[in-house]
Amino acid sequence: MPINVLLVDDSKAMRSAIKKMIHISGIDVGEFFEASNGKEALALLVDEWIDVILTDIHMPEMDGLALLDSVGRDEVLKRIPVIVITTEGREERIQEAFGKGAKGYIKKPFTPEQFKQTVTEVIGEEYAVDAQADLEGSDF
Amino acid sequence: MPSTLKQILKEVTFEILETMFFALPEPLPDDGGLLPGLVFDLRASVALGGRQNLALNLFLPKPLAADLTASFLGLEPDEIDDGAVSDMAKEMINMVAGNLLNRIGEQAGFEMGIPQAVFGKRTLTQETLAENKNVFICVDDQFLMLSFSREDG
Repeated sequence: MPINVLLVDDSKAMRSAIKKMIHISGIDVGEFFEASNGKEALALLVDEWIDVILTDIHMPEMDGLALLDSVGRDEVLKRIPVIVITTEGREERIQEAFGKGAKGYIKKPFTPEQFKQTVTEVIGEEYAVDAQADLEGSDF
Repeated sequence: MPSTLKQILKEVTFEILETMFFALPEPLPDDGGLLPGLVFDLRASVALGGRQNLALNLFLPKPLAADLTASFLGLEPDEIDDGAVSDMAKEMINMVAGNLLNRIGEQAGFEMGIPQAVFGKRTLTQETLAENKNVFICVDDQFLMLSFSREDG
């Protein structure tokens, strides 16, 4: 079953790179939505059906930790799993993200295989993986 | 640059090039061998702070920067513009610095700033090589250079 993904990162380049990695990983995506900070993400979450949120931590206006706070306070939105994607490696910051409700953590750089493993752990194998897509059959 | 720090810098940059850019980097000797006269067209930098107020710099020739941008973003080379190249360089230095600090920074009190990228030619001189402060990496017969500088210098 395809999933709708909300990608939150202030860098357009990084959003493109992550989208490419998702494609290579074989995860079956229905629609991609993009936001450049937590505030834009919350606006999208009001109008769109989102199955998983992938967010950076360091962003202007509203960072990833504040987004986790807002999502966690909302009875409807808190059903949506949030995975943090960041270069941040400090243990206390990672634990802070999990404490605010993050369901997964991916450290940049990452391989498509690592990405797929984390996403499938968080949202479930049957939900995430496109039977037609296979990493072994990828051109990359 | 201390040899341990150079080694860590090489390791994190190799990992990033291999995983996020699908590149096959090769190490070079610290003095770069045949490198004097090499021209770089783009510098990305990020402040690291710390007691010495350091910044980490990445120097790239434009053809290599364009190749890396195409790989990173999943675009064809003719779809690449200067803005995309600049964004790629900022993301690359951000990942290199972030992973470097993950390995050394907590003890040293470093704190990363916001990455920047500027276009401008810089020719590698023998004097720069002699300082032995740089890390060189070869990708597809092209070269990138990493160096530290003081933010106020």
